[in-house]
Amino acid sequence: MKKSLLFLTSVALLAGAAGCKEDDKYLFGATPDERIQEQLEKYQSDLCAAPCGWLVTVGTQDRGEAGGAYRFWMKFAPGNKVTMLGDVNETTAAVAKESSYRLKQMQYPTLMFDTYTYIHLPDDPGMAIPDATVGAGLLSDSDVSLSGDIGGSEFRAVGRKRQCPFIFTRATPDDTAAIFSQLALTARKDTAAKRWEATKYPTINVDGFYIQMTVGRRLATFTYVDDATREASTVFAPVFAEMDANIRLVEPFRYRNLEFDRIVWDGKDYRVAFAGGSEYVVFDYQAPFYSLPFGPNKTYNAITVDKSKLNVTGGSTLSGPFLAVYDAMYNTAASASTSLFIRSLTFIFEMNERYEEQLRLQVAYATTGTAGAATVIAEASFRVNRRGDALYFTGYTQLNGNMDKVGPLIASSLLKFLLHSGDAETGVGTSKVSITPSGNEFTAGWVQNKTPGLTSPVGGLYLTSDPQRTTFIPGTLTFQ
Amino acid sequence: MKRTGLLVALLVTMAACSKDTLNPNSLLVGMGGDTWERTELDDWLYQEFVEPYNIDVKYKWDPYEVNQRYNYTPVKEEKVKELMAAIKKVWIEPYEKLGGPEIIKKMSPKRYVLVGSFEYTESTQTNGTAEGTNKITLFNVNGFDVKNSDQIRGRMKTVHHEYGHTLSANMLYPDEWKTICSESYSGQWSSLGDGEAQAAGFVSQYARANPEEDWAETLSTILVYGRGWFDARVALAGTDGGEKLRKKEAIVLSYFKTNWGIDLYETYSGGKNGLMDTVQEAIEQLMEEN
Repeated sequence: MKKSLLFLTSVALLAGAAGCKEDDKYLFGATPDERIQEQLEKYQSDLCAAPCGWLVTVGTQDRGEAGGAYRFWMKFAPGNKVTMLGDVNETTAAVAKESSYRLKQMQYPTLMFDTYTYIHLPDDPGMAIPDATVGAGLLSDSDVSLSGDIGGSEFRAVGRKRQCPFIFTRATPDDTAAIFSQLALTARKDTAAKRWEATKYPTINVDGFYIQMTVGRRLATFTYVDDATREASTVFAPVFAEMDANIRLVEPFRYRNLEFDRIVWDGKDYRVAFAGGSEYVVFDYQAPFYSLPFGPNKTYNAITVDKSKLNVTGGSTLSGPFLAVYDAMYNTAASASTSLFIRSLTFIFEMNERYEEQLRLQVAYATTGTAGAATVIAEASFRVNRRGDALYFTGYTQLNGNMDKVGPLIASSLLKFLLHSGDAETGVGTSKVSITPSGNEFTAGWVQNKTPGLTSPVGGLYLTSDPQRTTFIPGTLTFQ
Repeated sequence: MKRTGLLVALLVTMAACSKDTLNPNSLLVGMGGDTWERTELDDWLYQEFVEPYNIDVKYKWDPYEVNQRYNYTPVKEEKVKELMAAIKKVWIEPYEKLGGPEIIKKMSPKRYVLVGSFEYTESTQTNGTAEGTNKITLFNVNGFDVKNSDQIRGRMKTVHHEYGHTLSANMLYPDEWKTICSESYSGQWSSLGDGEAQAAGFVSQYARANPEEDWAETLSTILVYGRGWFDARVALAGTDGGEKLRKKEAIVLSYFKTNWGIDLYETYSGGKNGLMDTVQEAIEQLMEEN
């Protein structure tokens, strides 16, 4: 009985204590509303307490032409007013705009730019930025969820709607001076972009694993071969150039348990420094390191060989044994009684109406050697046969009358080089073409782009029997 | 003695619980409303809309006021007064003149929400929406240009359209309205051409959406584009479409006279200005002033 009474009393005391809410209000010293208000005021005070303002970067979710990192300078004032510049265009970089902001409690304390200003441009569904999507803009954010302490020199935040990453960096007097002089926000980015243009395939070698990158004004790509699938994977990352021309990623890039968020310019090279201290110099690999996605319905299906564009003095993308084939073809045609001046060759891989793979060869030529003379196209096709990665060509067929003229002139050079077997004498019209097949087999691959100023992707066909790739038909790659 | 002590402890605990009642003065989380430092614009809106009509003009961005599915931008602050002054002149003042000083006070949406961009849905660009009789949301405020007559008419049509919903929510139009074009209403109105809508007896493509939108569109186009525009629409609509438009016009005129004592076309019968003429005059004045 005594035990029962004790038990009941204890339960009642505990229940009573749990049920009493009178003191909940003071559990943290204030009501939730008071604590929220206090935090919002603290955030507003911290934002206003940057005498030179803030450099604010947002990474959009859009990965198209205009997507990536957008950067703003913001100066917050206590009366809910904010002054802003932005790197969106020349006007936003030069003309400061005042608008309003407020701190509001939503799921998180949220910084809202509550009347229109520059930060809304990437977020504007009305195509305020060219190449944005109507109805969606660049999939950016302009309401910013805040958490934790923002009183330091830098803090990260997240967009409320799309979770776009934000970096707020407290501006220095030097930053402010640069921002207000000569469109510094855009000019700095241009300078950095030009440095990257000179490197065709920026690559780092991370202890035998390659990461290839492209670095644009707002967006970078990082490509690496996936360990499991052996396929190339590409990650898009919003980037911006810092005031000292270093490249900063809005979010760190992670690779094999390593991560980095900066590509640093040391005055001579760009270097990637992974967290933990390992540093890798960015070098020019000159060609992608993954297999070329080439063929019908692949990324590329056409190779154009134009000696005037590939074989510039000082560079030599078009070189090696194939150059001899090309020159023999050109010289024979140019010296023939009809004088045809070959300007380019285009190899197009496609499916015919019977879903058989074929190579369509286009020979572009002029009837005078004069610059600007009209170009005529001669066309022929080959059957494409595949043996593993190797492919070879048979079944030469002239597709138009122009090939009647050109075919005999290139039969002993180009056509011989291409044709694997059979069909030694074929053609249409009056001129039968006599070809001695070479028996060559080819493999599609990237070519090192050694031509200065040529930015197009370069690839081609190399002799399968020559894995060192000295005999290459190189050209710029397109999809036709 | 021990038992007595335990009982006392139990009673004290229960007595403490009896104080646990709802405190009417306790603060509710997040119910304090937004605050910011008042500006001249806030004062002007208060004087022009809150004080006389108790209409709150909410121009500061609030994502909870719009559809979370779509994307929007806030208004440009400099556009707020430009638009709201036009609204007062072209919507409120003509109704007050014809319907008496109390009509807007008694019957008007109590909240105008302004949004900078259009509302881009999957297939349309929305100019405005009305939620019941309480809230009107106007989109594309940043695109408003008071110097552009097409823009003034387009935007004021939205305002009169939404007010048409407020009026019909207070006093519904006659049932006959729904029978005139009952066969032609369609949820696919945006993919049906304006020529087709005209021939079917509608003032616009959107009027085909349903009888309520038809009502608001018919009223607002008559008021904002004028009787001449409506007559031209009737002439181009063909016999069947023209007859239907005339029937709708007659119902709108009768509805206003019967329910609110307002003539729309009084110029033509009594030599005084009706509501349509007053709205037209206000638009012309607005264009002259700017």
